[in-house]
Amino acid sequence: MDNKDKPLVTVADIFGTMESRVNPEGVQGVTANYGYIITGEGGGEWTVSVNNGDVEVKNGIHKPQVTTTCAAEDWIAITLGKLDGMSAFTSGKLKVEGDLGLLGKAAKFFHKYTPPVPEVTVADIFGTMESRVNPDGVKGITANYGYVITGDGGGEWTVCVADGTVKVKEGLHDPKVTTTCQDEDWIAITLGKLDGMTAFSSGKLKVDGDLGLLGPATKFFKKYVPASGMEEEVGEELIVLKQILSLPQKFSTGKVMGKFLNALKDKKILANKCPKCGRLQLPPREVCAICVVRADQWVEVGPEGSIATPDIAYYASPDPLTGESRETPYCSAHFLLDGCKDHETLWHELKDEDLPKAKKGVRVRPVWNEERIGAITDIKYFEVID
Amino acid sequence: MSRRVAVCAVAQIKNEPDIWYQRFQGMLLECFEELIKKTGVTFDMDKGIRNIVTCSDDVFDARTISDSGMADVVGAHLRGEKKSAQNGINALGYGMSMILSGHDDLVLVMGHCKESQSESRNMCTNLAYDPFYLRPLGLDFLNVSAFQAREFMKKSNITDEHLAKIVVRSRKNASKNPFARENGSISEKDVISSPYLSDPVRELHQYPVTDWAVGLLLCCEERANEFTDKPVWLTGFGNCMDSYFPGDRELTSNFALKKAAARAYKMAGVKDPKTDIDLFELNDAIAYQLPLWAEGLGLVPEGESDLWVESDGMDRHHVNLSGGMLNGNPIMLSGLARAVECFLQLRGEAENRQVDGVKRALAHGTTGGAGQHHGVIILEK
Repeated sequence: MDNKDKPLVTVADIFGTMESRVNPEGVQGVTANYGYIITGEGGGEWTVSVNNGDVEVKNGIHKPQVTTTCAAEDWIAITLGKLDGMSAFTSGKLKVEGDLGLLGKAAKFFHKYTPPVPEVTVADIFGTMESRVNPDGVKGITANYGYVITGDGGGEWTVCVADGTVKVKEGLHDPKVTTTCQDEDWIAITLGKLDGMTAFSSGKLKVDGDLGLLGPATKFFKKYVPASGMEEEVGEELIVLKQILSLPQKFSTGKVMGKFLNALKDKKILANKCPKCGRLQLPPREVCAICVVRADQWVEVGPEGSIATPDIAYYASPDPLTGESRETPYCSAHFLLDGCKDHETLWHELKDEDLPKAKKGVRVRPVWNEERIGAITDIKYFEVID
Repeated sequence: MSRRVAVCAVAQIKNEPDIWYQRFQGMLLECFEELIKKTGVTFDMDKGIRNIVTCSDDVFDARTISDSGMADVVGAHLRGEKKSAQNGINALGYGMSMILSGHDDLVLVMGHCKESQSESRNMCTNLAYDPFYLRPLGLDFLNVSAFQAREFMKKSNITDEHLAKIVVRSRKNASKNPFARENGSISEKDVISSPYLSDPVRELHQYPVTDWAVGLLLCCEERANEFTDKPVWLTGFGNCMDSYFPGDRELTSNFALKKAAARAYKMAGVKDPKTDIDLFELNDAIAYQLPLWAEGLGLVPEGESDLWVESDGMDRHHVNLSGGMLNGNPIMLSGLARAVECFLQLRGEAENRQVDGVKRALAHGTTGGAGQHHGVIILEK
């Protein structure tokens, strides 16, 4: 198989290198079998067995607690960071059966996969030239350019330019100018790692014949991209900068939010009331937006109530500064506290253990933190009253 | 079609260094309630307010789409709302064009900015620059302006003494403005001995960190008498954006300001600003900008503002009697602060800084480092 047709990044290589890429901190304390069914050409089945710090990757599916099914090309894209795992999951490209909660941990099991470096050959550089012709660059030029590339990977080629058309032939055919160069230097020049002019002045590149023809030759071809070099796709001109922006701030509550938050210290939940329509606002804000007046009356509500709308979150955004994200799944809910009606619901969380009981109408009570500082998180969560 | 729009009322809180006791919603709410009280305007969908223009900045608020959490306190719930993330002078121009175009009869313009919320104002303005070329080099609105200051001071022979005079005058004028930030009086010697922030800009040359909120009720000419018997008219508006990259600009050319002013003058029928305009409020974020913008507006011949400062031209032309931005208005709202002073002067409500016979005034605002964007509004009695 020709080098340029062989994909360098294979699913087999991704799984094959996993044991050497284990992140000890990531797997610590985890014991579970993760099954992977990778479909399509280049796919296969693997099981990653994590046993409290030890990782073994086996062919085939072996008693997995969670199984991920995905097409080979998508799995490669996810591994290379070109496709976000969560987007693949929500769009159905990645399917999961079993204990979903285990997958969040798996993201930290391994160090980044680096694809094997593609091998660049002189033959490939000359072989791809006709497909890389830059029409503007060769316009108006008629000349044969000879190349003698020395070394094991070398050879002789002639690039025949005839007013816009380019033919690359093996061997030397009546060249007007001939360039002689070592194979490794020619590769370095082509990849932009060695400057052609520097190579010429240092004697690494020798020229016989009409030197003036070489200037235009630098514009004959579009950039050479090594075969299947997926990382090279970013290209020399394209840079992606990763940065965390942080802005130190101090936020004020004002009197209304401050009153609500302070009451939490005393395990009291306060709502404010619109003097015009009687609507409660929970948590309280300065104005009843509907009546355009200050909601300046206060009532204590709850603390018990019932679930109005529960929702289970499977994806938690990570903290940008630490990269850590909370355990998923967890249950967010709107709670209709006693004394409130209709949309006068408080948004908070339900205890993890109560997740299976999360449905509309179930009675709940708040669980308070021992130490309360006047924050919405002074309520640890709500729990189901059995 | 009517070519003028009425400002029926303005409401503002006092400019303060740190309104720690309120969130910005609370600051706006005070202005909002006062406007309703002054004008009796309602939120009736046939005859009341249906459109609101707000002015705020995402980075200063540390909140994406900063206007979304403001709707309740500016009456925008279930109504049209548009945000201007440039200097408030543009929000005013926006509101004006909504009425001139016939889109609505009434527009409420509400602005807030709480500079004290950020630990560093310069960190915020550093984010105005791109992450590859300029941000890593530490550019922000202060040090970019220092380039402009250096070039301009050379061109117009402006000295450290001239700048000290401008700063001291600003403090003196502000002491007569009950809504101005209370900075205390200083001497020219204090200014000249204050430390350099970015040579030649000294600490006292730059406006101090300030929190403020403001609101204005705009109305079409036909209905203005429903809300006031003393309307002030917006008769001209122009704005212009210059190059983003400071190196692309001849920093003392006032290119964008001249274009913005020319459009506003044409619309309002101003032939010569020196004689046709009685009072000017300029966006002097840093002391050197006052004479620079005065040149750009055609108030002073180019390169001659040294003489203008020495001969008390600032008093003769009634420039920045409010104390100016230099005394302290937050970055987003400096242009609205200028318009509010023009409004009060035109109504004869400027108390002990009132100028007699003001018939036409000019308010100016800038956005971006070294005045990348300029907006000019002409107000008349």
